[in-house]
Amino acid sequence: MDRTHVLIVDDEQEFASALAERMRTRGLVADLAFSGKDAIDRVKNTNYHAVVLDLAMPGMDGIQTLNAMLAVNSDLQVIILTGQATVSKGVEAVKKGAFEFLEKPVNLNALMEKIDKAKSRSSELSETKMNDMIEEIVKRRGW
Amino acid sequence: MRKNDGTSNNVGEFPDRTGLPFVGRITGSVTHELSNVISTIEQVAGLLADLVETNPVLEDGLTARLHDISGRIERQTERGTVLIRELNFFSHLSDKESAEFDLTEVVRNIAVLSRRFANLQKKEILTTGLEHDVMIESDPLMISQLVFNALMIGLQGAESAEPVTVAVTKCDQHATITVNSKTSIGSPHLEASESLQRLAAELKCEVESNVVTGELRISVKCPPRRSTAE
Repeated sequence: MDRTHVLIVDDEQEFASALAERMRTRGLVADLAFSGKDAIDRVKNTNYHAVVLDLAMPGMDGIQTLNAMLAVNSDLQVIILTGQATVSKGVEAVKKGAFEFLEKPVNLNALMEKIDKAKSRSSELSETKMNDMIEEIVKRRGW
Repeated sequence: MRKNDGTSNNVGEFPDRTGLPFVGRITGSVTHELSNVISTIEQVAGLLADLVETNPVLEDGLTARLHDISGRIERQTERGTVLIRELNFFSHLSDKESAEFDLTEVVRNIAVLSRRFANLQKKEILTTGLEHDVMIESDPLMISQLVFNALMIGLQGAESAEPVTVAVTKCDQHATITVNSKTSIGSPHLEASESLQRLAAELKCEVESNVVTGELRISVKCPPRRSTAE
């Protein structure tokens, strides 16, 4: 089975780095982006099973980053991290297409569970897409 | 600047709202920053625990000590998280002078934020009846001050090591906050009691306090929501 590939997007570099290192000790491949712009560049070039995205970032905020990432890849599974006072923004993000949201400070086991679910969903979507493509080819060629 | 040593009941009169949005804004913003600090400490402590877990060559006794240390950090970050969350909630109480809100949330908030005042007097605050929403329409900040004043009177009267209990009940359309303590001082301190009465009158609440068989009971009856009263 392929290793779970995750992108962590947070301007709090110490937090993101520690989280990434803990994920790596659990066998995941974890990349880092410290800004929305950096995150968008990364999703253009890599197929992530899940993206962990902080909502409160300077410059391009979490919601703007989410929208831009989904414009690049609409199947992307994004897990939002919110502060307690921004839970309503987490709900808004889910309405806009995020997979789930979690409150900060985040429990790693709870986050790992969400990442597993996001990966399953991502695999399901890829499979469905692949089947649709095969069906389309079969139809087009009259097989 | 005036300091409160945590033993005084003199908690002031009605807040002058002029600077409150400023105080609320700064406090709210700093709680976000503190939350980020706590999140980082939590992950770094978790990383330390992970490394101990996966490193079999540590000398005897060191593994257990490092586990103990990371457990202590975790407990303190949990404590900090609760306080920051409640301080953030408190910072938003001054956002609106009149609002519809859940009274149990305000009571829980003030009970948590007043723990230190209780600890300094070697006493404890307990809460009951906060499981279900009790919606009222009033000034959230002033209601919180009312709860705080009632709690301070309860704490002042309580015998050492006896808990002070604060509860919220709903009867008909009214909400009632009750502060209960086993007391050794007889009737509540006059000045504090008068201050509570004035604040209650401003908020159109009714206050009743009595001492029966050594038990101090302060009840604050809040008016119903306008929508349900009409």
